[in-house]
Amino acid sequence: MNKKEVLLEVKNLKKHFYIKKNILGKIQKTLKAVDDVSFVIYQGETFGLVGESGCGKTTCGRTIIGLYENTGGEVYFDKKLISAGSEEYALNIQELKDELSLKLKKVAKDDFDLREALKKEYQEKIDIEIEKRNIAIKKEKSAKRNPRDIQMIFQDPYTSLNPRMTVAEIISEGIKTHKLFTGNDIMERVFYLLETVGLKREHASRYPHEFSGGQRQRIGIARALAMDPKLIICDEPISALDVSIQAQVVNMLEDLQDEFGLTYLFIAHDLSMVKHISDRIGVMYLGKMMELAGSDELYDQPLHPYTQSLLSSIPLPDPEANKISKRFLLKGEITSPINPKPGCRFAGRCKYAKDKCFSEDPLFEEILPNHFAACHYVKDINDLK
Amino acid sequence: MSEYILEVKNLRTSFFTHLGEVQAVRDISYKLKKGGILGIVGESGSGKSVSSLSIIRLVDSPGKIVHGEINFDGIDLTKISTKKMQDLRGSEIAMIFQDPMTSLNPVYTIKNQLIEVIMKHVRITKEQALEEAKKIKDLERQKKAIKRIENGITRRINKKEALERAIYYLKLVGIPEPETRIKEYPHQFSGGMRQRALVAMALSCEPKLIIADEPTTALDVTIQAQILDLLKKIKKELDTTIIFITHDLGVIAELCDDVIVMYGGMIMEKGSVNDIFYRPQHPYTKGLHQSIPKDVVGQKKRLVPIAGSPPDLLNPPKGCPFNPRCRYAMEICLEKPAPLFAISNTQSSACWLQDENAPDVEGFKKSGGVLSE
Ligand SMILES: Nc1ncnc2c1ncn2[C@@H]1O[C@H](COP(=O)(O)OP(=O)(O)OP(=O)(O)O)[C@@H](O)[C@H]1O
Ligand SMILES: Nc1ncnc2c1ncn2[C@@H]1O[C@H](COP(=O)(O)OP(=O)(O)O)[C@@H](O)[C@H]1O
Ligand code: SF4
Ligand code: SF4
Ligand SMILES: [Mg+2]
Ligand SMILES: [Mg+2]
Repeated sequence: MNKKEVLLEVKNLKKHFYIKKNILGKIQKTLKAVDDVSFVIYQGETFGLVGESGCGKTTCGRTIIGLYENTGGEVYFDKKLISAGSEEYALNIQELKDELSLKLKKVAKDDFDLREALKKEYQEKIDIEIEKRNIAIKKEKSAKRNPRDIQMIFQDPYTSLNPRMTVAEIISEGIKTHKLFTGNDIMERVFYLLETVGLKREHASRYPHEFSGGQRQRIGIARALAMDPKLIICDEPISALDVSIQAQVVNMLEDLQDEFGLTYLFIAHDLSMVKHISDRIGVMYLGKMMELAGSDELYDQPLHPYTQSLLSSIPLPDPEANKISKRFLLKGEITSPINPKPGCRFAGRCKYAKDKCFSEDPLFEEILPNHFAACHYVKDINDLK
Repeated sequence: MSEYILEVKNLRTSFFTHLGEVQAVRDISYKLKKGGILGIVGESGSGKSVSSLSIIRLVDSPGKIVHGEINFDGIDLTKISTKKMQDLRGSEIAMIFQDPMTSLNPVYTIKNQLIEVIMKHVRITKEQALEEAKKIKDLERQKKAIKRIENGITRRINKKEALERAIYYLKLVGIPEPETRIKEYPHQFSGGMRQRALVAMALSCEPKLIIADEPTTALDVTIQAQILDLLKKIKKELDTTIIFITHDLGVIAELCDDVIVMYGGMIMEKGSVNDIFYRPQHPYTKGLHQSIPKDVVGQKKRLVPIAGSPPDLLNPPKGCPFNPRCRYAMEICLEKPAPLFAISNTQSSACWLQDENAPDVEGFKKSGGVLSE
């Protein structure tokens, strides 16, 4: 892989949630879940996204795939614009989504028909907003995503599958909507996919509750593969699984990548598994990208103070190594992304913080070749020229 | 006095559900030395929590200890009255759970909760009591008081003393400004601080044994590192014995002196932390090690997963619980679970490969067929 092709480019992406509106509809607080994040993912690689809970990893993935309305910045897939953000329309769309989730809360959990109908009704309203938005920002033609290109695998194998559908129905849903196969070929495709993810043909007629966590995660993967995607966003696909099952799923993801030339955005908080599976890794903290580098380089030579403490906090499965390894214990805890203060988001916990850190946002810059970090004093801290 | 603070003998605990008997703990035995940290590691459902809850008799119904002895400091906990057990819980054995919110009452301040626990369980020491008795003017009464104290009866700690002690332990676990923060409600504490407050609560009665069930699993790694650091400090300074339950091998390696590996309600292997990490002798323990990445820079080793999935304890496989997933399984493995064979004086493995009649595959055979006592 000498000449690396960019498959996905995320440019200054923002996803802000607006909370607590007063009676005039004025926003009181803004939760900046993802705040000006940029990175690229190359064709065929695995890009790991790590950070503590609530730092914005999931939100980043969901905004890329369009499950959340983009509130700023652009996303390009295969050099084509697939998502462009605008505060105004994002607000309208969020309002619609809030309305929908309020209504859904009042509907019984197992009334899938009514739930689906509501979702459809609101999706149509939302689509109209999106159209308006696209026209407004004059990118109507290009800012459209082929829904098949990017698929997502979710963290919780228990809630991400509809309990009332058989495995075959779950896997074939997308195939039917997009008319990828018809007639008998649909079932053949389902069998093929089941076998690809290490399940059996007989499983096609069963329901999700008949499967273990690891097997359900395989069903989720088969559903994603059904669309022949180019990029799969894996949001903590192994966090809910037992150690011995995690390895099965990780190996399978690696095999599928080789076989189908897939590209992964792999979101996780288990840092040793992320290192194992990723080619490059981005480290997020409170909605910002703090550091980005090749995975070996990041673990070998972390430059950002946050990454340094994060990595040194991992207990190693090696008693002697733990005795000699140095820990940089962090004081305090991650704060909230609601109305964040100006300056470096990490300043409150950083032992190197100086006045400037509390007033000026550090830029995300290339410090060493292909190694980026956002810290005012990164060169001094690491004795770099 | 024995050098062991806890001896669990042939413990079986089951849940009698409408689907049948769930055999959560199936005949486990171990001894725990004073003053160390014992790690219990295993996958979800392997019986880690139930075996530990059995010790303090907190297994939810329809669960019941079906068989076995639990000797704690000379008494069999399975035999004592519920009242006696309640007294021991908190004062002699304390528990820290995974989710601090379920163990803290949201409507009371941290102060109220800590003081209540302390006042319920703690009496002043003999020395303090004698000091107080000396101040009694009436010589006749003083004599009586001293006699009571000599007989081991001292008064309960009072509110002011309890508060002092609560603040002392909050400070010890690293809560900043404990004098003011103690007046707050649990929801005003962050996740890490709540877990610290629970550690303080467990410590405040100076128990002989603390059972911590995945106390860091819900926390981020940077906060987990703070709590592990705290537990190491406690072990060094307070000489408390800790049982630490986790599914994370990294945490075990970082914290524990001895390790028990559980699977399907049984103990698969026991040993010192170095035994379990550098000389594992059970196919399941080896499998676990190969399932986690241990890459060195520049070269990635493919993981070696354990095929299949953990057993259903409603219908556990006959014989060794690991047999459906074990590539060495022999005929006897399908018949009888293996006893613990002694590998060395610190290590034992419940695997038929250690039997004197077993073939020596891949250098597993180490024990010469001697059973662990
Ligand atoms: N209240 C209950 N009723 C029925 N079965 C139960 C109950 N509590 C636990 N069990 C069963 O007992 C077995 C052991 O459970 P236990 O909670 O000890 O597992 P564990 O090793 O602590 O797992 P985890 O890592 O998920 O905490 C499991 O099969 C579980 O389903
Ligand atoms: N639908 C939503 N509405 C409001 N806030 C949200 C929503 N989804 C996520 N958030 C907030 O955005 C922040 C980032 O969340 P998330 O992306 O889920 O973090 P991660 O995946 O890194 O744990 C958190 O503060 C979270 O509470
Ligand atoms: S910018 Fe300042 S506060 Fe932020 S990481 Fe660098 S030194 Fe620390
Ligand atoms: S007793 Fe048999 S089945 Fe169990 S681990 Fe040993 S060889 Fe495998
Ligand atoms: Mg998430
Ligand atoms: Mg448990």
